[in-house]
Amino acid sequence: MSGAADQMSDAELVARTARGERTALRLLFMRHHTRVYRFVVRQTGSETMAEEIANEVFLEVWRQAPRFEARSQVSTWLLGIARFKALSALRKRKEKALEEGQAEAVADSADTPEVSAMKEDKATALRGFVNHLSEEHRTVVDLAYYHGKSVTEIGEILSVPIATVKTRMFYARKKLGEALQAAGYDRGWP
Amino acid sequence: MSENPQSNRRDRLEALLPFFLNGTLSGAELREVEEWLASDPQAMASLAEAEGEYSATLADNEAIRPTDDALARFSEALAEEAGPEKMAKPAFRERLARILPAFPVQAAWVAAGLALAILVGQTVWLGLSQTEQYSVAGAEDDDAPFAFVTFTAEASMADVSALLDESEVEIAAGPLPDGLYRVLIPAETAAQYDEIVAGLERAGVVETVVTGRKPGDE
Repeated sequence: MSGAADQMSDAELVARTARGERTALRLLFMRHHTRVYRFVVRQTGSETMAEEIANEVFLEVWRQAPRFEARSQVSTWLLGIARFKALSALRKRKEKALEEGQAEAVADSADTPEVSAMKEDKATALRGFVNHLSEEHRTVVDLAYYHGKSVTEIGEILSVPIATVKTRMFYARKKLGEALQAAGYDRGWP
Repeated sequence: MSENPQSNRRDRLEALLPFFLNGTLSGAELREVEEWLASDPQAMASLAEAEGEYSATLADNEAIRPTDDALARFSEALAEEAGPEKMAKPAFRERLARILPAFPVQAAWVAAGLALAILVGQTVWLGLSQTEQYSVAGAEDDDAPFAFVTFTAEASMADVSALLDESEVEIAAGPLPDGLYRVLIPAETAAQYDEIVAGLERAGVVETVVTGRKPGDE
């Protein structure tokens, strides 16, 4: 735990975690937890699930740190783990709901994005439209705009080809544009 | 892209704009987007739309806040996973432990005159609380630049006080596990941040500095 700040990279913290240094893992947690948590909330729609899954992500780092090969950024690795765990949790929740005979989804009683948009300014409307994208489209948008990930990194996190990432981004942006137009806002494309 | 995604140049470039904005585009794709932006007036309008999406996505994400005790909860989960931790107390704590009992509590606080003394005194050494206070980056002071520091074994409270005053650094949270403190860095630019952090590193009383959020980081 000495040396210049720049030397304490995420990769070094993972290496120290691999040697059993819990302080290093806690530092990684403090650096990345908020982003991981937000990513999982956006995946699952549940803050309770996200809290549990985010913890699981960093426990997984504790277990897997010796096998981390630094081929990708640590943040990309973390989001990949988070994505996998979120999907697993959602699958379990769905199975449980089916077993219990519950409705698969609860109808959203709120205004549709289009209706809400008429009441709000364009920026606020756009926030609503981003939130109402399908999960796979919103995830790509989040990973690019909020997490700053490249096409290749998003492909790694989602385990999909690069072309799929681009196609999803295209349709996500197209849907945002169409929603804005439908709500009466100018939009040059599509 | 509606019929053949790869055949429509405009659609393909629209799909790349978010990656142009986040700075991850490179090579031929970057050049193609730059040429498009330079030559087509519609491209600049599209870029403005993408910037709007960028802002909306940031706002949506930043509205989500983890709980304040996230690190404490994780530390408990880690202890369950890895077993109890051997607590080697940082030497700075040992030194404080030797100093504080020599003074009446109020006198020590007044003499210290520091948030640090209050934090350490309240949460660790005076036993007023059995639960250490934790804080998670991003959960509070969300936009404030910060770093993590630990102090050396030889650091006295006077030394730490002088350093905090001189650098105008404020302790926001601590002691975290292993003697870490989260400190707010009074910087408006990344260069100022680096300068202050470098000053902390040079200070004899600081053992470790780990960068956190810099100005400009969202």
